[in-house]
Amino acid sequence: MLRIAVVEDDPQCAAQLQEMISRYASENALEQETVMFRDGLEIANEYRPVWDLIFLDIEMPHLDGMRTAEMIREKDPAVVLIFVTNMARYAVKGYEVDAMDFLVKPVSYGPFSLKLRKAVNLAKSRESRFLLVNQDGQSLRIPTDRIQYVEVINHRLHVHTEDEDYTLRGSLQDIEKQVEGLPFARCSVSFLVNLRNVTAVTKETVYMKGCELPIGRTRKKEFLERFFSYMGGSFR
Amino acid sequence: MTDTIRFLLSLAGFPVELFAAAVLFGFPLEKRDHSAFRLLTGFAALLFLYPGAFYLLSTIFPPIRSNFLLTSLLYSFLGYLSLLWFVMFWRNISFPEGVQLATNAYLMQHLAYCLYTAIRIDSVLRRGSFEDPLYPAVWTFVYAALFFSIGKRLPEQGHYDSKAGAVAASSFFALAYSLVLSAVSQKASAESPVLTRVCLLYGAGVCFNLLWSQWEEKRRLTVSQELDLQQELFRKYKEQYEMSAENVELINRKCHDLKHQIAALRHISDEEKRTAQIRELERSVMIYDSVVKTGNEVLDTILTEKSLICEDKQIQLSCVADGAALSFLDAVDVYTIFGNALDNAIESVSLLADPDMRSISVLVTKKGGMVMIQTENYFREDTAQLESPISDNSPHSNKTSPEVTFPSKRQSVNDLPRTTKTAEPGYHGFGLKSIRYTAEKYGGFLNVEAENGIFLLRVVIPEESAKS
Repeated sequence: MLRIAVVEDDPQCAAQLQEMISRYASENALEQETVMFRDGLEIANEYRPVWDLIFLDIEMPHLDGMRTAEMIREKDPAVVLIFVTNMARYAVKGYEVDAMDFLVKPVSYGPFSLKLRKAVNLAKSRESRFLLVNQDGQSLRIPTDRIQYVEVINHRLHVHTEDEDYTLRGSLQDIEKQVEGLPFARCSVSFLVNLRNVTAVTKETVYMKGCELPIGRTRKKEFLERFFSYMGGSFR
Repeated sequence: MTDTIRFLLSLAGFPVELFAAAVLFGFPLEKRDHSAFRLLTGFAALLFLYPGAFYLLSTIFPPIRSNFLLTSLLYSFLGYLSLLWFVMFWRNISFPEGVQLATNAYLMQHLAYCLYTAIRIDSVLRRGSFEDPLYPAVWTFVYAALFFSIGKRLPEQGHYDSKAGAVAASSFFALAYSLVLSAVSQKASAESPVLTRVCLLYGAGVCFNLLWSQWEEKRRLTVSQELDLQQELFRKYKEQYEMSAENVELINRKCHDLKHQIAALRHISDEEKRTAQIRELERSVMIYDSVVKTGNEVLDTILTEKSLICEDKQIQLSCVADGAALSFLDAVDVYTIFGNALDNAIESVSLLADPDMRSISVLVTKKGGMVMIQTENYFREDTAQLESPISDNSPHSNKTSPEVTFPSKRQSVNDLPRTTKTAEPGYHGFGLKSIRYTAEKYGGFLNVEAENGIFLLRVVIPEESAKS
């Protein structure tokens, strides 16, 4: 279920956005819930990080889109932001608040659906899930955000997080099924890496906090493509 | 004892000569992992397994031994196969490249052999004899000369060019012919040393010709590419001039309109109407006051310039950029990448029938020590024809503007979308090639994905690299 917020003071534009979201949702079998806000102040005041995606109008009377975004980012680094604006020139500052893109008014469905598609994938990739695993008979829930990589040695899995390592039974394929949609990719046959926690990448090595892994020759092209796809966003 | 050693050494001569030739010609080609290990293993295999295999075969099939011609040809052919195996094992190249490399190496060895044997035709001192100073002299001379003049310069960035297949095939057959000639003439050496000498020198000439013509062909290709580039640059300058002229025209028209709007203002007495008109005027001006600030001045300039064009063509251009991330790039390179990427995107979306679909997004971001530049836009799938990577039929186009075709699957770094031949012979998809060349200059790459009507262009450059 995708939770979307639309922050727009112009009622006509707001209605239009809501209608386009519904249209996209029905065309793409997307489950979503949209909540409307009339001004930046309404959402930024006592902001709760419950949204996956927020459409933010830039030109609003009380608290404009840019300042709203700054306030939201203080509390929520993960929510996907798309600005809606009359004018081109504000767009580039979007980088400072980690906006994904922006839409120019009057918004038409073509670019809207293109950007929404990328936003949906991006939101999904930022999902926080729990890995359900079995360690010596005990059921464990490991938050995926904390995982740096999963290694398989002799049919045993080693899940490495920043604080702890877990040793369990299972196959890398099982883990891959559980993290489907999340940015995990194999850098070699026995290592599954969480791209979110990658700090640096070279042609030979992938670096994370406190550790590094070699990139296997056969997986190199695919792994790097996955990494850059994650970085730039994808439409797939 | 010394006789046995001498005999063994004489047997070892040929594999070592082949090996040395392959190493020289294969030296500039792309490495594989554990290159040194592969080199040593290859050497051992050539030295022991190859003669061993020949010995085995000749034992199993006695007729081989009795027929000199057959022996010679089989020995040569097995040698070639071993060479082919070695180069594929040692270097990271495709099969046609391997054939070309193996053939070239053998050609070089055979040239040296023909020369040496032609000189020494009537002497008792023959192959593999270290007592003869001419032996190392001839080989060193031939190998050094051919390596420096041809072998070193033939490959480009670790690979032979894409026509390797055709070259390989024709060279191979010519080599085979030359070997047969040598073998046959050897048989007649006792009766007619002069004739044999002539045949050997002829063989040497053929080998040399084959190697030299590959080099000539490559030079010709380079010149032709440079000419294409010149033509392309000229075309670009012409285009830019026309664009500048268009821009000036646009601005002139806008000023003209504004003049009238201001004049009309004078005559509006109603306060509310006047305020509305003033606001309208403000809006018009602000759209042309598109001062873009990304943190990189060159990017600002390009975006401002392109946004004017986009507005004229009803294209929505959006950009989220960390301009500072581009600071280590040369200004010209920034212009090349973004200029070409945006031109390409603008051209694509202009062809879309529905103006609502005309939107281009530009993203510049930095993560993990990598700087990424990405553009996204819709494109029309029937004009940019999708073809499966397996088929090699040229797609046709009935448009007069330059067309780019997109394969139906994702393509990456070395596979750029191919350009169909159009009414304008000079334009052959140089835009994307320029981007790729620029990205690779900094140790980065260009990736292009074209699927489901969405075109995604991605340039990745490692952060700390200085221009190579």
